[in-house]
Amino acid sequence: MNVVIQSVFFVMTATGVVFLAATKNVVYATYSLALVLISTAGLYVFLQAELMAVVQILIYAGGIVILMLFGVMMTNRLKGEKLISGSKNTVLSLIISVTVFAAMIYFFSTIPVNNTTLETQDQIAVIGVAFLTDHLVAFELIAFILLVALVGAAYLAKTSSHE
Amino acid sequence: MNELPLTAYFYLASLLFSTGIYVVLVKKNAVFVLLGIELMLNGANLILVAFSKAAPTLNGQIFAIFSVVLTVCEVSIALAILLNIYRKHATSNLDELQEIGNE
Repeated sequence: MNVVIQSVFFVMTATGVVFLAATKNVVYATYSLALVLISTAGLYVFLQAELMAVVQILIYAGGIVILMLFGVMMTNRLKGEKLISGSKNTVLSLIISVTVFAAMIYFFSTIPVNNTTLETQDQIAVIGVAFLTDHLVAFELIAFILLVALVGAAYLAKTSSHE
Repeated sequence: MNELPLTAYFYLASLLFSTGIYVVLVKKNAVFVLLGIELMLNGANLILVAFSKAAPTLNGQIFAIFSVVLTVCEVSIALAILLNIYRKHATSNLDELQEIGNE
């Protein structure tokens, strides 16, 4: 039964990815990114990463997709017609990405991985303690970077900043 | 065995990453390029979490959460810059943005 649900999430993710690469419409691409992100959150549950799944839905699917839709709305001439994006260098890009894909597939097929079981008891508590003990410097730095980035984004997007 | 092998997750993450590269290289619209970067970061997160299960420790998940926060910073800054570019040049097509600085 688990395999069936996992396969459904795999197919959803792969469909969204392929549709995102194939479509020319920016709004459709944003929605297919939302599909990819939500089905990846489902995969995180099967990887015993419940906190990552919640973070993925809250921040990616809830925040970034909305932000992207605002970006589509504010940075295009909206005249009631579809937002079509052109393509360039299609063949060369296809060669590069297929090469990267083949190299990654080869690399991941050579390394041995064992499907172990994570300790899920009090996992979120363990992560929280690790943030404030083992990874304290990185945690403080990331908080500071987030603050600076948000203040900087608000300053850059201010209406009078270019006048 | 009632679970797919972890290697399948790595293959899916490879698909996410290489499709992200394709989207970044091919599309002309700047928002599309940002979507491609999101795909690549999502593939990297999937690999981190899958290795966290293979290890098995929680370090991979912790680094994935750091990476999510960095992604949020990157997207907010990038969209603010795109908004300014659109106000000044009235386009979001990357090929039409040829010069830089104040002319």
